Amino acid sequence: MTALGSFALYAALVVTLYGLAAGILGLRRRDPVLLESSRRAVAGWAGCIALAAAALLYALVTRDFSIRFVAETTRADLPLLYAVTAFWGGHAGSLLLWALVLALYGAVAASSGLRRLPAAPIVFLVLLGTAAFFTLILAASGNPFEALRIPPPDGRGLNPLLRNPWMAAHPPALYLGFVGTTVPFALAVAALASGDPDGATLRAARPWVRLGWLFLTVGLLFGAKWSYVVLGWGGYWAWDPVENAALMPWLTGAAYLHSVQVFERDGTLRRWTAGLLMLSFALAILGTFLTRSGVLSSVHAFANSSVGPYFVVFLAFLVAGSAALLLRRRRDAGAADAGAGGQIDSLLSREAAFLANNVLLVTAAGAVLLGTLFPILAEVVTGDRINVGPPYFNQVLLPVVVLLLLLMAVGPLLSWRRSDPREMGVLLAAPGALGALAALGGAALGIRHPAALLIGALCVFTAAATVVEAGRGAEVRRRRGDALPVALVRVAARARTRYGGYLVHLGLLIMLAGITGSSVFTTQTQTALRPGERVRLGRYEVRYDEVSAVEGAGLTVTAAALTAFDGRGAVSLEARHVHHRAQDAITAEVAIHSTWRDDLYVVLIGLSGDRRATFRILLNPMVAWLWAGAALMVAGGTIAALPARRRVSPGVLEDARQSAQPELVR
Amino acid sequence: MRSMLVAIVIALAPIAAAAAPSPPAPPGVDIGLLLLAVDAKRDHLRVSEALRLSNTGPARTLELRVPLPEGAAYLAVHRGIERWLRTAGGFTAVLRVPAGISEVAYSYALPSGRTAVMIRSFPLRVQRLEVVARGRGVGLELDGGGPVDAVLLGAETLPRWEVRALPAGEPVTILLDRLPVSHPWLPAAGASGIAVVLGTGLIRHLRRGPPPGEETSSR
Repeated sequence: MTALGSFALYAALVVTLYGLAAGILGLRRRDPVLLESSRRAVAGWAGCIALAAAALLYALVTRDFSIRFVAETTRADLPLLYAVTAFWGGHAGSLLLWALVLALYGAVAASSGLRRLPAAPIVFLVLLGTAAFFTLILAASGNPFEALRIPPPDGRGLNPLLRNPWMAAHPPALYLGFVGTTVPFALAVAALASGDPDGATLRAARPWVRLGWLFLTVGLLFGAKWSYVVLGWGGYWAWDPVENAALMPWLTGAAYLHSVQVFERDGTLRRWTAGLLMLSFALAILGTFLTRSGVLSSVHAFANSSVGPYFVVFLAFLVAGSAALLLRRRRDAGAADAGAGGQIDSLLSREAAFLANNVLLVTAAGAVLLGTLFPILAEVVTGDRINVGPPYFNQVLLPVVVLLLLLMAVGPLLSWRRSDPREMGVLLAAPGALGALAALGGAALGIRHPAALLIGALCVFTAAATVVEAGRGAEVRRRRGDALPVALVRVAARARTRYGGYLVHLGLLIMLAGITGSSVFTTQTQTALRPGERVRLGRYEVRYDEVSAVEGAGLTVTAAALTAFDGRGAVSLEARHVHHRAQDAITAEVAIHSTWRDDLYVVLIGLSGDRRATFRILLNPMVAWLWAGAALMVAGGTIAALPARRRVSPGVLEDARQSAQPELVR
Repeated sequence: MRSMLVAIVIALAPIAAAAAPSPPAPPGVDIGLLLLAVDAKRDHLRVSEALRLSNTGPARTLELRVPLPEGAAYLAVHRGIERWLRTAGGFTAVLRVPAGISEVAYSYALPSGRTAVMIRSFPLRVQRLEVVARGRGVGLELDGGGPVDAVLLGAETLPRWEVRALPAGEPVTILLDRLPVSHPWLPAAGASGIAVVLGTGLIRHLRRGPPPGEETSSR
């Protein structure tokens, strides 16, 4: 497997370099044979990477300890699931996963309709350039097939923190999102480099961004869930640099998904839209750099390596190249925007709302970037490393979130070009009243936290406005005789992207409510109990029953059994310590009793000789809302990302009727 | 002749494993049979040594310094040793030796090339040392010993050599050749082949020039 895997990597490098040479020469000589060969090189490279990935997977599953990576990330007694997920459990494997995902996207791009775009050769050239960078790093610095002269009888095993189903799924989903920014980036470069007079190249990025953004959402969600159930600190988002690195392209991707609608409608915001795609890719590369370089302390330190400088050079190259392209097209794009009527007629228009939304999302990404890189910047300027924590992010982002919520409510109701303020007032009256009622209701229930009241009221207002907007389309059909649910389904089926987007908005609102509730109203206690003793927290009384220890394959599991009473019934819980004998490391398994109202969250801190156990118990309100909202976002994103059904235009239908082709008409 | 061959191989072999000095042998205890099995893997050897101890005296606790060949790694003790400590030249073992017959077994791995020479010595007198080598086509010789009937293991025939009455601390040289080795240059050579094919095709195409009138529409 060592020889096969290494061969596949070296061959991949050769094929990408060939593809780059063929592409550059083909463009210079306007030679279609060379350009076609360059396109095929993308598929050839993808095949080589797939072969390398298959070789590594086989080596992991068969525990081929003659390969250093396998010996360092697996053991003979590791369950098959984690032997497979060990693929991304170390630096070299996760780099190969990056390349594999890029290979997947590249192969699809090379065989999809993108190849018919006039600027397709540039798209493939950019893909090959990115592929060459990652293959070069793999072959030169992170070869996962490095052989051991004498294989050990058993491996070291997977990092215990990674032995969790959420972490098994988190990196692939996140990488599908991160790497999903590559094809849109290539399309943006191609659009700017070629001029893209009809905007087809830039428009072609939209389905790719939707898909990548969806995967990024799923990846972030899985990571948050892992943090919540494994790390045992009671939270799901810590503003960790690597978490932030995944959030930033998510924000700029969301900005693109809104700005492209303006571009698709009248051709304006061309450079801005292309710039967002470039920024998303640069942020994805920055995220990969932060994960691997170790320049910032992070819970993702297990992937640290020495490839940081390569990423810095690559990042500098692509930022400089993107900036140069954007500047080069400044005059052309300005003319195109002007020609397309490139100005906003009214502040009360959908274009203005989208522009404001973009400014806010990019501002949020910028604020997150500043907070993430602040320790490095501070060290450069003052010599001391100063970290900014959650207070910075919460204070900076709260106004942005408030304004975004307002826009999310108003924007979908606005018309293109200009809206009637009175009509807007009528449409927003009921949502506004509901929002105000929510604020008053919250205050009456004793909520005194201003930010929580504001966010809660805005969530209700925006959700109601979204329902009003979704209902407007359905109302038209209902008047034609459809029942309201049928009308809603039919209108949503006809405009999947739009209604999928509304579901994403509703999911985000539910999630925001959950985040607000769990951030502001969490209560906790830490206590040492003997078996039979009880502690009270909120509406729960928790009894510590007993402790037991079980030996498993390579593990010793110490479990503390508890019973939680809420006045109406009792639930059994088990908080565990898992001792991974091979690594001599202990991980916690948190006991969680989840309801729509709150999560009872119990962490076993330690055990003492007199059978006393120390627990940290938290009551986290509305966490289930977060997961439910996120699931709704993913569902909406999936609906929006589904490929559109091919529609037969009326003209074609007429032609078909005239030429008596019943199968087309049917 | 064989001694000369061994001398040449020792001079050429990439790995020559030297023995560490042995402690004096305790009276009444010796090794009746020592079976040394070499499993030839790619670039390394897995060596298992099984000792049948013969104690004519009362039960006793022995501390033995067992020398291991240079480069030995992943020492694993399988049987008969109570405590052990890895040392620079081998390992020190504390074992409870009952009266009569008892067994000790341990294994380790060694790096190897196309040939390997292992110089082994043991802290006790060995009445009979048997060496068996496993691996397709592997050649085995013992300096000072002689070949005996090969061992039939399934479909494999394993060469077997033996030495009798080996004094404590006396080195015995085991010569192995035709060992399996990896070819680390193969992947690069294969990829170079692909590079040559693609490069040649590209150059030939460039020399021919593009077909007249064919141009891409990209800018």
